[in-house]
Amino acid sequence: MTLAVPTSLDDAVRLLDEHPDAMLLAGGTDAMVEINDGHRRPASLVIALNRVSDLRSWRHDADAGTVTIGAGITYTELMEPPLATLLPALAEASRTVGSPQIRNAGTLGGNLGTCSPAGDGLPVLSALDAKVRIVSADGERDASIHDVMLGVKRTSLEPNELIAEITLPVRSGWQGYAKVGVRNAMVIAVASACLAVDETNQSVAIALGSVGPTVIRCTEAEQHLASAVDWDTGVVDHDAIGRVGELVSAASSPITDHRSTAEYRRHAVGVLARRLARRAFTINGVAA
Amino acid sequence: MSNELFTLRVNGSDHDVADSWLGESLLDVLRDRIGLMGSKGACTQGECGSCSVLVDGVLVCSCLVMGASAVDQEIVTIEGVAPVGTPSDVQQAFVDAGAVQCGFCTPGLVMAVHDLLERTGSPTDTEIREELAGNVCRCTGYGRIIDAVQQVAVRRSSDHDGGRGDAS
Amino acid sequence: MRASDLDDWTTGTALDLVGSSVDRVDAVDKVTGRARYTADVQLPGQLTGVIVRSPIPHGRVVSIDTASALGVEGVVDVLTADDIDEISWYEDDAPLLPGIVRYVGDEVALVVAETRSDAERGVGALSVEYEPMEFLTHPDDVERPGAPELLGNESADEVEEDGRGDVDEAFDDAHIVVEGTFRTPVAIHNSLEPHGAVADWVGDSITLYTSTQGVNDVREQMGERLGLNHNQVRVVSEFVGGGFGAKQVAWKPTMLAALASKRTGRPVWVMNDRSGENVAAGKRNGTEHTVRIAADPDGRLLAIDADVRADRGAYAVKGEASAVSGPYLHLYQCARVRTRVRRVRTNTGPAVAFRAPGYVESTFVLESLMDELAGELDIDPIELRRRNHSSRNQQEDLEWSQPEGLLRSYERVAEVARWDETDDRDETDGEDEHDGLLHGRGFAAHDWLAASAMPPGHAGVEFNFDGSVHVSTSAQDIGTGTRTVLAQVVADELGVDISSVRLSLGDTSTGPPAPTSAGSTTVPTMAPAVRAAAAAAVDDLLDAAAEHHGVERSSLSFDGTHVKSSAAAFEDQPLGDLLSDLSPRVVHGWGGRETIAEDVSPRAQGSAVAEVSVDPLTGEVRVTSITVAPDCGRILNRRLADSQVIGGVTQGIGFALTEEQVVDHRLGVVVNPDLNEYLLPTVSDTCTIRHAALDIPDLRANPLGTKGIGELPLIAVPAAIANAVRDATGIRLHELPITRRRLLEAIASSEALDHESGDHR
Repeated sequence: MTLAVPTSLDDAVRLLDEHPDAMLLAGGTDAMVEINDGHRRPASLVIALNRVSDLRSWRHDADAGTVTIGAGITYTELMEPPLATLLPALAEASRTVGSPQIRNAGTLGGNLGTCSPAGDGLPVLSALDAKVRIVSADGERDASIHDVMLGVKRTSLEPNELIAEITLPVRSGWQGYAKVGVRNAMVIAVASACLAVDETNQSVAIALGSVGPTVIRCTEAEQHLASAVDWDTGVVDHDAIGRVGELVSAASSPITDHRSTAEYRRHAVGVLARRLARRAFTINGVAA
Repeated sequence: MSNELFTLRVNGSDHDVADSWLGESLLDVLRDRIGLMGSKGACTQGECGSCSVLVDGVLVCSCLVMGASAVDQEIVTIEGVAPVGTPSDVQQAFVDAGAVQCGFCTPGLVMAVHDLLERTGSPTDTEIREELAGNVCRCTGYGRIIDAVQQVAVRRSSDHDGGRGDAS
Repeated sequence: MRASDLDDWTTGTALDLVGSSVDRVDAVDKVTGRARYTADVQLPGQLTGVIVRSPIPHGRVVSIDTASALGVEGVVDVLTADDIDEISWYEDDAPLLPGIVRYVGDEVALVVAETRSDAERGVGALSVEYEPMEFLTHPDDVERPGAPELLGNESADEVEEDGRGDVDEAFDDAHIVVEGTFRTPVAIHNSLEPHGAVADWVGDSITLYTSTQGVNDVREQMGERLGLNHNQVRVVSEFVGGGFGAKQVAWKPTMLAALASKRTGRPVWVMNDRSGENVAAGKRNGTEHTVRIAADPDGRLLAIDADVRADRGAYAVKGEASAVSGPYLHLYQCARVRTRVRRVRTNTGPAVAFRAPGYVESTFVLESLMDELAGELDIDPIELRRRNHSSRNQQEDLEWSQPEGLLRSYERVAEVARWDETDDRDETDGEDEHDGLLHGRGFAAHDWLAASAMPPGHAGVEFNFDGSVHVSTSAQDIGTGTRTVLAQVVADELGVDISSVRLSLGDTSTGPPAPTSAGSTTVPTMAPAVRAAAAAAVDDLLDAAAEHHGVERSSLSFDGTHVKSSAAAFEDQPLGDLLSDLSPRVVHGWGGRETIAEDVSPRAQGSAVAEVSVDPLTGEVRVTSITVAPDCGRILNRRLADSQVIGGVTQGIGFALTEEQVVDHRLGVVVNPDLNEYLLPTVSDTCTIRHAALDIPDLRANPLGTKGIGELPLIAVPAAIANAVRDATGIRLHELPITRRRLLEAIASSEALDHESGDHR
């Protein structure tokens, strides 16, 4: 095998076009595990993306109300202000990823490229209706996050395409991320959820991880919650929260594996959604 | 096998690496090619932290870095955190606090603690638990390791205060 | 000098070091990365071997095509069963590289190459043809009527019965009977350094650098199988990256490295990778216990009846579930006890002793039932144990070496955990009753059998000509602190500064025989031995001084720096001067521990208190504190003892809450042979851990009164946590680990029951 360490996005894209079977190496947290285990033995070319400066930057467009994040931004960078202040749910999700070592290496682009149902950043991207800029030698295109994530470790990217950046709206309103694992740290989510409030449009977005082949949006629960909120006061009725939990559980489509059961996941993701909703709004009618 | 040669800068010195398969992890390159045996391998998947090193000042698991991709970067390993014969304050605190048992995870933990204290001068118990969660230790149960971190934090802040006092 | 000739060190001796928190003598080597473990050994010309493992759980190896592997650049040799003469392995005497593989991970071949990646490519190129056979990986399936008889499973032949009295009669008219069926998981030692060796065969001798708990045992086992004398096999294990029981015998990587070194004429390095380590290098047995206990109205036990099944895996190693009946037989005063243990073979990896083998498992069961009994009778859990205290070994009719040790443990653990002040603290967070955490606390006691010694243990102490001291023994330090406490003992016996004492350890060529580090016996065996050696060295010193100076031997004494005499004309002589005068005579002593206590039953018992908080909506259990009071006898180094306690308790938290090897029984494959999915406790999973130290010298166990602490702090912890979860939730889980899913399912089904019965408490 040979290794290429391009420093510009153009070079990276050109290399990928010339070698569509090349292996992309972002943070290495997924790819190197497969190589170390011998599950993957890159035969021809590996393209390391860690020096591509275009992928390593982000920008805030205050007029458009958006933040655009290079695919090579790490979880650690997402946890630090001002990014963390602009995109608090993404920061919260990043904090739940592995360890400092993993967060220093793992990137948002790598998370999306791998497209594991348990990818911690992905429910946030879904809840915020992220736009993904995809580049190739043929040019570039923008795709909705919902069209990029197709299934378990499956995206709509063509072999010669690369995720360049991800654009997210800066919302006014509370947003957060929660997950349940099987131990207290260093753990893959067995259920996760992101809830993001949009006060301007008086809407709520809820996206779930680890409870389906890919991230699931819960439109019914979102609408139920948005309509139950008194948007002037931010108060919502206790019973409505309970109903949101039920609708979220119903929207999930989990499997049973060695980490947990479908029943546990379905239940837990409802609990997570209720807890996020409780953090987002003031609750009326709490039992004493 | 590729005979392509590359050069890594480790602990301030350049090391030519030949006869290495380019897909080898930085950990394997450090140990098997350069002969720096302080970094340990125990999982090959970034779960145990025993192989932690600094690459351009950033703490990473060297098993998850492709060795050849780390060219032109400053790599610091356990062998490079302090001059031979003069343990760093973190290393000394591990000795003083009794934070060591079999010692296999220790080099990785020392690297992680150095990094933690660079970023957070006086970490709380909760911060220590969050920030060291990527370093698995099977012997000590971590209690003395937390003590060691706190000892260094206290010593560094009192040294700092002491320095100010001398200057005034 | 024999250790039995020593005085008890409690009268007249000022101990400067023993009992104090001396720094670990090898700590600097470890924190600087300088300590050299087996995996770090690099010899000139060294080759790397990678093991080829069976991908199927049971089947015949039809053929191995080595040519394609040998064609890979860098591959030097491929070792298969055809290349090996009659070397058998495990206690089953199975072939080293079997023609019929018994589990996924069974060793099939070794590919030897210039580098590891070359060897791995060789493994990828090697083609092995298998003929699959029927397999059974779940012990329930093995015992199912009509199940095929595999692996020589003749369950009936393997039942071990033990006990005393007429058990059935007692249950007929007991006031109360508490019973249940409990399961414990397969747990993996996961020493951070895996098993492995570097073998260097030169001429008619071999040097084996290997990560082991027993250099002498490895020498014996390897010598026997290779047809070599003990003096042709040198085993070196200077630093060991953890053992926990799994490294107490020679394993296949050591033998494969040896054979490959002989064939290639070069040193060969073979270490398990993590997945090989987790399937093929030992595990704690999975067990199932069906147990009933009977008591009178005051809670006094009338009978214990325990039926245990242990899944031993495909091969028998050593020490697996060896003592699973121990707690039932020994922990409490009870006239009628029956234990039946059957070992079942499955197409899974071999089981081997894991820190307090058998005891951790049975203690979880017995102490869960005792907790139930306390609840049923409304007796304080510690009071219930006091009422059932036993001061003797009822099986052998011998008094415990420390009859009151367990009672002292109850007192201390209750005091330090503030048992009498922390009852019933259930609370909610006020926001929503359903989100409130539930709090609970639990208690458990434990027994442990090995506390006297595991002879032979020998050591030499020699004064160098400058007065510094060299201690030689072939004991090994697997990370517990052996090197340090033995140095403390020698320094105190001689009265010298610890910095002048150096030990050579972990090498069969430099020291006399010492035991395998297992069963918490290294310290009780070796501490008396090195002390006797030090005392003998002083004797030799004074003999030589008397002869040299022509004074009465009985007038001489040594205070650590000078030889003195009560004779008037004698001027105190510094040690170094005397040794130069005596040169070339070497002053040295030899000490050994060859016996164990016979008139008493050595015992190291203890107890634990756990506090937990439970999230009843997600099933998350957070252990908030653990307090343990292990009766380890005299504490030689408080800091090292504390460290063992914190580490042992943490393993207990893992065993209670997260650790479990999971097998897909349709495929016969372990699905979590890695640290990503096998969940060791991280620093975020631990809690406040308190060592309620007892420090009672047990002089009937051995002349130093020290019993070792390795296994003790772990044993009662899973039981205490399970009891705390019961206290918090009202749910008694009968299976470990208490995963979030299991706990939530149990809560849900108990709520369903409550709902049906109209109980909404």
